[in-house]
Amino acid sequence: MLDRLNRLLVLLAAVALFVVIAITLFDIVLALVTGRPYSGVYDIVQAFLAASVFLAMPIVFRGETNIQVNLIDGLLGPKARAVNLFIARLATLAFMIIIGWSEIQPFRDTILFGDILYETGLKVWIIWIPILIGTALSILMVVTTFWRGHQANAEEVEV
Amino acid sequence: YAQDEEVTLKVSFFTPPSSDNNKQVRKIEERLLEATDGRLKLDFYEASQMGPAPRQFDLVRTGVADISIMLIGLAPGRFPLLEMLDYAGVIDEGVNAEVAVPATAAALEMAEEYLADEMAGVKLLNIAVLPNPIVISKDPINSLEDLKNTRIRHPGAAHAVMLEEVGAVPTAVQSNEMAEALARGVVDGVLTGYTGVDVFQLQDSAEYVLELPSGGMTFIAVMNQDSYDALPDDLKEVFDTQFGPANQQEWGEHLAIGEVNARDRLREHLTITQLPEADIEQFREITAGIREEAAAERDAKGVPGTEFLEQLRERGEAYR
Amino acid sequence: MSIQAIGVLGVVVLILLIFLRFPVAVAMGLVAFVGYGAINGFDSALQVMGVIPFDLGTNYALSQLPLFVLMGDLAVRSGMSSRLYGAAQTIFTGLRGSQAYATLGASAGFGAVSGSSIATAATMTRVSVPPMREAKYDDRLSAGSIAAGGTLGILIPPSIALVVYAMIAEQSVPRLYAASLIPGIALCVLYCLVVAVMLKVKPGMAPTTDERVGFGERVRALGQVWEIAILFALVIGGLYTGIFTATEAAAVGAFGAWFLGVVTRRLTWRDTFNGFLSTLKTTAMLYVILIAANAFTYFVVLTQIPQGLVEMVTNLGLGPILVLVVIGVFYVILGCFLEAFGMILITVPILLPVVVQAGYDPIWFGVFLVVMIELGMITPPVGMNIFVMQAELTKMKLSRIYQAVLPFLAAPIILAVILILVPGIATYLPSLFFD
Ligand code: NA
Ligand code: NA
Repeated sequence: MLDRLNRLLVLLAAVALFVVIAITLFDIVLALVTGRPYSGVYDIVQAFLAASVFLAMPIVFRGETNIQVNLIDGLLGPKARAVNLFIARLATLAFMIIIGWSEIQPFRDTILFGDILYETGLKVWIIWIPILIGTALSILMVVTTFWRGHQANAEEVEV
Repeated sequence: YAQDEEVTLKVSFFTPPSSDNNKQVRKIEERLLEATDGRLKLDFYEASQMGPAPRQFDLVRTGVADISIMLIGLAPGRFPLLEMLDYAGVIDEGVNAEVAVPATAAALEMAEEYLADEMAGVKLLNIAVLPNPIVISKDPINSLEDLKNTRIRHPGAAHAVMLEEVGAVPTAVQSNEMAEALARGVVDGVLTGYTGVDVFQLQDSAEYVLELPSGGMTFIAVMNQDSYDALPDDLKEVFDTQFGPANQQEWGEHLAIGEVNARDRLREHLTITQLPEADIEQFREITAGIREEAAAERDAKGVPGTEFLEQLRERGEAYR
Repeated sequence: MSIQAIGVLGVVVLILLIFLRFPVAVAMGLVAFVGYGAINGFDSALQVMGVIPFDLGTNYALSQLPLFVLMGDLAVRSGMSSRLYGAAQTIFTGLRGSQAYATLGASAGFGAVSGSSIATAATMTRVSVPPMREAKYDDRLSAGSIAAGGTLGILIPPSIALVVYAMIAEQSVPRLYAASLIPGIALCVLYCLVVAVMLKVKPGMAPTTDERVGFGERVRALGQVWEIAILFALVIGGLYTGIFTATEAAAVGAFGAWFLGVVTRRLTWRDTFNGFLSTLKTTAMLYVILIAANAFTYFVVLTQIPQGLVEMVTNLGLGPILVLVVIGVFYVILGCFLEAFGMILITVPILLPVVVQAGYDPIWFGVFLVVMIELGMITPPVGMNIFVMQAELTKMKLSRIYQAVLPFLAAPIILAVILILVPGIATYLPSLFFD
């Protein structure tokens, strides 16, 4: 279920990244051919870059592939290692909850003030949606790691 | 005692220490220190140390910083009336100290009446306008005809519309990529102030300058309302001599003075021309149309755009 | 507690948490939040953190990161990079460690296309690790030369770091680019010297290549790399003729790598999809760190640590060279726990006046700063290039990468000393071109 959800998200992220490439090339070619670049490229790249990054984020938390320093591994017994892992997961959860919680106010402000992007007039709150979805699902993925005894390695959660 | 209370205000800038806005506040800082025996201090966080340029207004509104300077063009739609100051024909034409004084003083005078909505949660301290940005290019651009089909980097929405209307191709380039874009020919020209040319040393890549009555780039100095209200009365009194209506004349002038000085410094590296007289007439007609349309758009949304423009002109007369 | 004490405490706790196996981003983010809240209130801390994901997510210049990673990934999947390394091996047969030198040379070449060190390291990891593993290179040699070579991305123009510096210091970007050219090449040479010394000490790190290869075969080997040559010519040609900007070059590169792979029938749709997938995972992982590092930067700004340094330097009344040495040491320490953008933002507004007063040119300082940042990118515990490698090589332990990179730290340190003693290597070209 979760892995299928992640697969869908990464697929959407890939589409977003494809749009970033396509729109940039479109602009370069248009400017070469007509001498007039397509105004709006900045806005579109920004919006789709955010989508591609944040929709791909939950899978990082699902797989626990966030970068960490493993110097103390050799010093800890299995029990201490389990405690260490639990605390690190708790801290990860706290970190992501702070991020998610802190995103709420600026998101509401951007709706309230009707912020738009410069070239296209695109509503800024729309760009926030994939960011919020990515954050919320990342929190969910962190929660699911508590049911996993050992630390996952990337291969187990390959989509 | 309130009399002995010391206050330190956090001042955030997106511009670096050497920029005119920063220097202006540094000058004010010295006067405040002297007048309050060091009791009213300003802590400077410059060059976007507290947050990126488009966030400066929100930093103050939410109380992260006490005072900041916002370039309103960076938040399109957020300041529908103040934005009108950017349009060509609102401030005066030319490059001299006085060009932005009447319009900015009038706008500040009208703050309570017209700007309460867009300034909710903050106190509008002062308004500064960088007047009439110029076009700098590698190849000479001497007329409206020459501008046609050239790719010009624009500094904001109002100027993009203006460039479009005269047949140029407004191109979005971030200010830090300006010099490279010009040097490599990604754009034919850049619309910016003489201070912008000076800062990014655009004279290394291009030498031709066209001066035209292109409008302005509006900056506002804002303060968190609670921070202002919390100032002890005696400090507030001193504060009000440097920020707010009492000192608006200086604020209205300082960017224009910076432009005049930058032009003097750069003159030997540049070939400066003005639009020919016939073209200026045509240009004024075009920009009047843009301005009126922008005002009408605001009217339609229930924001008194046309009225605000008229009031700016009328009340501005008192400050000439 | 003074705010500077909070700052120092924050750094100590950060390092502690990192070694206690908290994910690096989590450690930075939590310390940043608590520290910022302690100084400026938790409402402010929330406000500042809340906009970072949006501001970084929509940062146009950062679009380079996934696009260059994708380019490298597709170049590997279509076999372009293994042919490049195969060619390098044939051409330099007899030279022990030829592939390590090839990696450094290719990093310098890629540095002329990309303005980002992270993108350079990420791309080069993709491109270089598989062939070097196949050729039986010691992982420490390959990891070290890739992480170190990746730093060249911000010294050899174009460079995001120099552009950001130019903004804050109000300096001309073309002048900075001219100034960084000689030091950039010098650093690449110094890295090669590090490899040579390492191989002298431990020859077993690279395979021996005894067989004889004729001149003709060496020339024919060049034919193997035509795709890379086309890709490189396309990107660099478009960049320097102004057809596209440095940021757009990344999209052209990614598309070019895909297109060449498809027309030569070496890249399937499945490969393309997998390339996107693994690119996105790497990018998202690095973004989590960038978000936390950004929050940490805003915290360090509030602690006014650089202001303390300036006070100290002023009170000591040091001579110009000693001032620079003190500042250099300060940067080495900062580099241990800050990333590039943070180092620039936190220090430049405060330190630049001191440097100029010591008689050094702001253009020179930009180059010096970037060299110090490059050092910071490969010093433990917080070094972005090390993290990039870890993100791509999940099987290699981070502590092992730390170890691998250690010898390479000598190169930027030597270059920094040379810069202080002979400022001309940075200031000569700009004055030649522009004055
Ligand atoms: Na570069
Ligand atoms: Na480091």
